[in-house]
Amino acid sequence: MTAAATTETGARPPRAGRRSAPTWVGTVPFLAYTGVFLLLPTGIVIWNAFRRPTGGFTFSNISALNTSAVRTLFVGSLELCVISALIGAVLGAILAYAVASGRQDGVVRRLYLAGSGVLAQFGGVTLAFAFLATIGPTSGILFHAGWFYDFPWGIALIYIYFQIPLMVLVFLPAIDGLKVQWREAAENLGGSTWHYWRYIGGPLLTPAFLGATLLLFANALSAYATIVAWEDQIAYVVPQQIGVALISEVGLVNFNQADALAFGMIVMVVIVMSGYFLLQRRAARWQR
Amino acid sequence: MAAVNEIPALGVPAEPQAPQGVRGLRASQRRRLNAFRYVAFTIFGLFFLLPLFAMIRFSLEGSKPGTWSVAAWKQIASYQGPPPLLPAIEITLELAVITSLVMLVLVVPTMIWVKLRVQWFSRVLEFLCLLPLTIPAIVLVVGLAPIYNRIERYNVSALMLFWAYVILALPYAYRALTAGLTAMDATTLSEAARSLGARWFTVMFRVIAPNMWQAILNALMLTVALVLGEFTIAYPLTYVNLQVELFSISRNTVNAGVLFSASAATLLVAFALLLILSYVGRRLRRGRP
Amino acid sequence: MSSTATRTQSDPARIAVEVQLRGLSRRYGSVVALDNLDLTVQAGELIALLGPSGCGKTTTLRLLAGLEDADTGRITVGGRDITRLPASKRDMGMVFQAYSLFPHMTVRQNVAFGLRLRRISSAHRDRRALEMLQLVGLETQADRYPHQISGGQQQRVALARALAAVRLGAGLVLLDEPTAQLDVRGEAEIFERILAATRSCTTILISHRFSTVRHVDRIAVVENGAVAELGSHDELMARRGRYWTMFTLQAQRFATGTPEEGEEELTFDVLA
Repeated sequence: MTAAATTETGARPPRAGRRSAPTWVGTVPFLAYTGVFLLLPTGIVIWNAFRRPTGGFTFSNISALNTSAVRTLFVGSLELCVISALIGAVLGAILAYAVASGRQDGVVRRLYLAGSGVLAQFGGVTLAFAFLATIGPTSGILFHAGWFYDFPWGIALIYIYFQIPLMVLVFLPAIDGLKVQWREAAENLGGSTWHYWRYIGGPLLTPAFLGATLLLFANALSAYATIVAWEDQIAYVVPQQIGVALISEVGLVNFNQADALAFGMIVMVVIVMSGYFLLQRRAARWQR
Repeated sequence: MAAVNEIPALGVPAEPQAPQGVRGLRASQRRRLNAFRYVAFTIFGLFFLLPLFAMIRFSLEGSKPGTWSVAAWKQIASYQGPPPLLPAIEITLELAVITSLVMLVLVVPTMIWVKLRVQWFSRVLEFLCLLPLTIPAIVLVVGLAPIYNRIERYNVSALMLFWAYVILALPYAYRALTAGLTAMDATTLSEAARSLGARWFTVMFRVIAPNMWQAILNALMLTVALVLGEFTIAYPLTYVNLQVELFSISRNTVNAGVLFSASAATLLVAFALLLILSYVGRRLRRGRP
Repeated sequence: MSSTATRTQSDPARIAVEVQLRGLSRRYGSVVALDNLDLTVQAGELIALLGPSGCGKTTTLRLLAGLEDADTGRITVGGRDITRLPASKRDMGMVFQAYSLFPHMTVRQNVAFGLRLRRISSAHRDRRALEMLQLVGLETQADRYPHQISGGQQQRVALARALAAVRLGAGLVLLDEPTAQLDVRGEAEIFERILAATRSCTTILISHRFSTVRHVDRIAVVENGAVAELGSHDELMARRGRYWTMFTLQAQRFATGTPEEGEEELTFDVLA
């Protein structure tokens, strides 16, 4: 039996006597699925953000966001994200360096990587309970933290718990990418440890570090379950308010406010993630 | 990595007792680095383990403070609430299974098919699979609300959440599966199989898929871990799953022991999945030539 | 067979130094890398360290450069005992086998790096960097990045960088298999340059390819952490020892051609 010739795109020339469907048909189920459950909802959010509840196009949903209450929400989100991203990034970088400077196949490294994989997913409701058990104001086993319910530091501590492992996962490859020869060459040329980090290690790691920080920022921005489990009566950040707007039993379910807020979030996350991807590409340029 | 640099500078193990001689500079540098590492691992280790220990300790707390009891763990199945926990556990487990099945049936074949036959689509595929990372779940649920409202009319249960869960799991599954696909030379394998007369169905399911079973397993475990911990889609849509129920319990009875035992159990399950995966992966890697 | 006759004086301000290694030992756990190694390299000489993988030649170079500490022994360069001196204070240039250049700096910035650390003014730096680049024939690539030039060119830049940083008045260059990652063409491209640029330096070269070893003044055959044989190519051939065995075994495989025409490179791994 002769091998069917395949072209670059994998298209198969039609068999004599039988016409086979074009190969892209195989992508239809996936496209349909993501179309309905990913693209459509996103489109609905963007669409509804500009619709009046009664129909018709409007900017008023967006401009209605310009109240001090909503501004406080965005500021709160920014505060929490900046704090948890910066602290998470710095601490995570330190931990990543500690892991990277050990044996490549050592037990410690594998343990920390596996742990990071698990902990980065450990969020939400369960994590809030765990912290409640540790330092909750009435029930903490370690001690009682009066500031546990303070915004932003109480919740930021919990966010940092999953930000650090994420940082390790994302930043460790960059540290691994620092070739030992560069360090040795710098020494050979008369450089001290400080010189190495100032002129070589630092500049090389900076794009990756900034990119990872942005990723942590987006991660904190999108978090919902953790902060709702921590405090569900007062909305400090945008995601909480979106949830409230969706569930609200006051009158109609307030779609349009939820959509407007969600649209605002999309804009923020898209900006941050674009920065992340650009910085990643910049960092990868030197990883040849 | 330079092949001949026999001793990679960063990876030198701690030297044993060397004979007296000219030593010092680099050894002391190495000692300082090791000291830093041990301190760092200890501090971070404590930070990460303490909440877990607290949770487990709390779950083993008896009726009088300071006593031990496994009552909270037994309650996982028996807790009546309000609200009762067991139905939520069942639903969540079922959701995990259904989501995994859909992932197996929809995503895996599509990825293989695209890799083999529709390469130009792979960029689109990557974009779609990684998009959920950029569209937060809390935003997605706002757009899903009208869609789920339509479905509601047919009076279906929380199991309908699986439609959204597959989307949420896409980025993680995609990365795991891509790693598996690129590790094996899928194109060459498929060409070899085709030249032996295999039809595409056979190539995909009897040649390619079995060769990436670790990646598939990895993707499934990530999916299950995600479903077990999911809250953000279920709660605003007023469905009841494990996390939502735990949340409701906590609002009713603030320090119910079952909260901590159930949370600890979820974590242990996720950890066990990870261990199974790495264990099985290692066994097979050793067995392979 | 080329000899010192072709290594004429150039860069006269550079003064080559004598290198003495006495009783160097180094262990890694239970593995003995160097076992009481003794070697004297004459000023201005080009010497090759030869031997199978793991015999200790790379360790020797790294100890010399200060990238590792010796367990016992003494290292003397130009009459000074530098055994306790940190690597950054030792005055010698080193070319690594791979990943030599800093990827985020241009060729010029790479070459000038050592000078920058010594706070030499930027005008001075650039001039010296250009001089060194001219020495290796790459002054036209000064503003390119490492990933934009070929492997052979990268190694030439690495050599220029090593030479630039070595202070005037001392000349010692270490080359750790500089052409190992290059194919035969790449190696041919740069080896003549290496020879020309290091004429007035003491140069210690690690190799296991016959094509590089051909050009050197003396060869030190290293085995099990010590120098087993030492001498010029002719002397070692006359001795009919390890070197002679390696060489004739390799030569037999090329009964009908020279290494350049043959598909394989002559290497000394046969007896490893």
